[in-house]
Amino acid sequence: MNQQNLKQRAFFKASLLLIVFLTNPIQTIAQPGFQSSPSILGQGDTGSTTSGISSILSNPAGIHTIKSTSVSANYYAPYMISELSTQSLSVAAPLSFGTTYGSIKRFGFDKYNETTFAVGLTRQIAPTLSMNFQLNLQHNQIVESGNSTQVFSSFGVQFAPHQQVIAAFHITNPEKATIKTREETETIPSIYTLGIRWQSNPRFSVAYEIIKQTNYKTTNCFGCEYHTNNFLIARIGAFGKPMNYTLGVGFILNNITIDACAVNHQTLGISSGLGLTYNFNQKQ
Amino acid sequence: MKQALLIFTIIYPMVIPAQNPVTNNAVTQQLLEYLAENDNDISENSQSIDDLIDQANTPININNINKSKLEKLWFLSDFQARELLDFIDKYQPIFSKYQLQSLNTFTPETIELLSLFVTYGKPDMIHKNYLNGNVIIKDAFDIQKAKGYQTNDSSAYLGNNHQIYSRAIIEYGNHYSTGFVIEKDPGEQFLNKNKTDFYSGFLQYKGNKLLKKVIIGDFKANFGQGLALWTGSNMSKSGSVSHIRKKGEELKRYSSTNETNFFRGIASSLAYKSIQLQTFISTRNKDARIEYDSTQNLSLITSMPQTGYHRTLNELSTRNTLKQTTYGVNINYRWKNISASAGTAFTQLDADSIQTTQTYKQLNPPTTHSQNHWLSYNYGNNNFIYFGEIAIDKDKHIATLNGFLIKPTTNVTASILYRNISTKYYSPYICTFSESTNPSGETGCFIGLHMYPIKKLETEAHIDIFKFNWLKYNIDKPSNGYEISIRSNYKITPTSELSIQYKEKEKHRNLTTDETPEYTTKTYNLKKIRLNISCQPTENWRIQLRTEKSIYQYDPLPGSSGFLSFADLHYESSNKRLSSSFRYTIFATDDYNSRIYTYENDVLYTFSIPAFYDEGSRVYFTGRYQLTDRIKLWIKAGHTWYPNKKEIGSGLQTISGNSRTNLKIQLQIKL
Repeated sequence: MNQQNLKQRAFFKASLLLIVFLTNPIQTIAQPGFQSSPSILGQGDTGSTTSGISSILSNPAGIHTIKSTSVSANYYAPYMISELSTQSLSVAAPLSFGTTYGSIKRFGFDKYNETTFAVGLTRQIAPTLSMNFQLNLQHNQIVESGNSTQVFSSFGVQFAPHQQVIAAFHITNPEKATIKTREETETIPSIYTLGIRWQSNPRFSVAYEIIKQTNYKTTNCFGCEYHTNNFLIARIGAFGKPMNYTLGVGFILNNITIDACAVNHQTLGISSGLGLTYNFNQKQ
Repeated sequence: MKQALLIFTIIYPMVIPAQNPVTNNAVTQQLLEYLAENDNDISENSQSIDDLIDQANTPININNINKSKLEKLWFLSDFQARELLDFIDKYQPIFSKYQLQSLNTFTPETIELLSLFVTYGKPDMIHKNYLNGNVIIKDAFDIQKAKGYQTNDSSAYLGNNHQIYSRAIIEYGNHYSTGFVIEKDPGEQFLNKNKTDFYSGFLQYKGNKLLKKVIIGDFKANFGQGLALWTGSNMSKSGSVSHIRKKGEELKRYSSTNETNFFRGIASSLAYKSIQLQTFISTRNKDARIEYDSTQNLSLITSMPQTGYHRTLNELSTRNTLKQTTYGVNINYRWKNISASAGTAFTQLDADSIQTTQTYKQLNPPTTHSQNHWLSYNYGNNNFIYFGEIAIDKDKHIATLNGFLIKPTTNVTASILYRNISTKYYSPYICTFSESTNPSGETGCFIGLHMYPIKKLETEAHIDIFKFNWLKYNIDKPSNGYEISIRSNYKITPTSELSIQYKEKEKHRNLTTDETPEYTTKTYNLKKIRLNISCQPTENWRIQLRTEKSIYQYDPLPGSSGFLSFADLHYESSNKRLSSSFRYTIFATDDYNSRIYTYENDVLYTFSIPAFYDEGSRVYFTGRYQLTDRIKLWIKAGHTWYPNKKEIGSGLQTISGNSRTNLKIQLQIKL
């Protein structure tokens, strides 16, 4: 093993320790509407302008950048409470007519849980414009009340008004679908996201985003991402009121990417998340 | 610039294939939104837009253009019009729009815009016998029926909830044209006793010799700066730095649906060398509630509704009950760079007096017999323009307005306008540059600056300081206020633009709380900041994103704030036969005071700037499809959803439920 590999390993080890340190006390918000991937939460939940498979959970219009089939698994545990945790599994494949994908997301515990199955297509209309349409099937299981299922849609757009600027919007459930369990009717959250990202160079970017969910105040999100080298990504951000401060790291190991994040809510404490992505046949 | 580009949003995507409308869309909407925010009734301004659309349908050759024809293109600033005329004079014939690129005051967008209304090359052969026709049929309605349609008592609406509109204009050669409009508002009866609620029509002859124009039927008359007589438009204050001078054709055929502000009779325009003479006489019935005192044989007007609605028996009882006669004359003299007009107008209502109960109207109560005389002037060259008007009513109360526009360098335009209107001055047709809709007693000074500090950055700023020397509606004491606006548009690339706007207004308003005595007014302050980004990534797609925040403060009451954001997608097929828009808007405001206005795309000849307040979201879709070369179809469907409401609206307009869906369908047939 040469000297460089030893250094890389030592660095990886130190970074993993950091992850463990960051992810140990886990806590965050318990709104299923705000379930992003760790790579996005690490940068202040500014996900509408991100690209790659991690964008499936925020704005899949950014998925058009993947060059090969990718799989991603994420786990997010708010406030160290496993009953509020979210698990997700996504797969995306670039095809000739666009990038197709599917995902499963589960929130809750055995007595109450929500599972959302999603399939969608992202198409790059022009080099600076991509659009996405997604169909979601939400299945709620409440032990006392029974099961219920509903279909709703989401829609997203990303475009580049300048080569260093990406603007985007994403709308979930514009049709205001509701889900009925016995006599109880609940509105599936309609979420509107508007974001802008400035990439000063290929390594560093700053993003700002607003998120509005039905019956909640507008959330402002701010985040930065820095690719220190081809191996390590550092992220920092803040969102919401009371403020949530976020930190995140990402490690790129050949075809595997590991992402971790920590979110510190001013009142409720710390939450954390972990993600694993594998890219098939990706040329290094 | 804003006003110059106003019509892009409305006309460009609908009449002519879009080429690079992104920049224009981002900017032009602001004028309409500004008008709405300043309590202008946008629907009343539709005539100005209609005129431009008609103009786009019959473009004139640029080499035949003269000053009066350029006045019709009111989106051009005075400096642009003057520079263009000089350019044509010097270099004609103009063969291509690319020749106009050497004009200092014209941006590429302005040239594109102008090209909608003019043709280039040698003047066209005049076809004496061509026939042009344009027919529009529209139906608009809400899916959910309001309370007024569901009750059976005497207050119920008499008609159905459809708004039906039809308009036809036929032109024969260059001289003759005729047209008619029929319209029924939602709730009104259609074809009741073989006639609809509103109908309008005209016959027009345009000549080249002594007789320049004759209109029989409905027309509008606009003179000076609107201190004495200005109909057909309600744009009191545009907020645009380089468009503070009102301009337009003095006499113009009327083909809009505003049921209040137009004339019906005969109008003519004669011209001899540099002198023009306009005369008109109008007699028509207006809506009014009149009480008769049989003992003294006197008639008293108790109210004059301006809404044009005749939906209930009560509203119907006021329909066309008051005869109004207006006649006037205007003489205009033009010599080199000077233009001067003088005129007089008399208005008579067929009643003995008008009841005035409001305190704020006591010093200038509306009268049944009014006279107004005016003198207006305009002098300038390519670097400055000085204009103004002085008007006097029958009791010799005076109103004046003077403005100055200067262009010290090619990238800077500055303007200043001062108005002083006597508290007792009265004109039934006043529509001038003012803060208040009824500007009597208003004194104010507007200062504006429009510049390109760097090539890609356009900045426009103005401040308007005004003082009301007498009470105003909802202000029970003399007061003052100001308005500040700063807007910057940065062209990121040729197809994308970022715009930031900050506005602040401070005015007085009555304080109506239980603890405070009557006649207490307090100052309110309204701030709005807007961020807008628009982009055209491909020839077919256009995207606009906006977010806006409003903050309303009114001590000692708690303040409020509002938020609005939308994402807008526009698509047009490469063959231009199909175009469509989709927009998703979310809004959340604490109350009506922090409401936010935003422009919406609509069907041809229609535009809307709804005020959003409370919490909710709105989605709409518009589509245009060209069925054949002569037939176009428009559809608009909109759905507004308020999660926290159980009913929407008030009174007879109340809809039960938390959502409202409206549909609009329109057909255009060109003959």
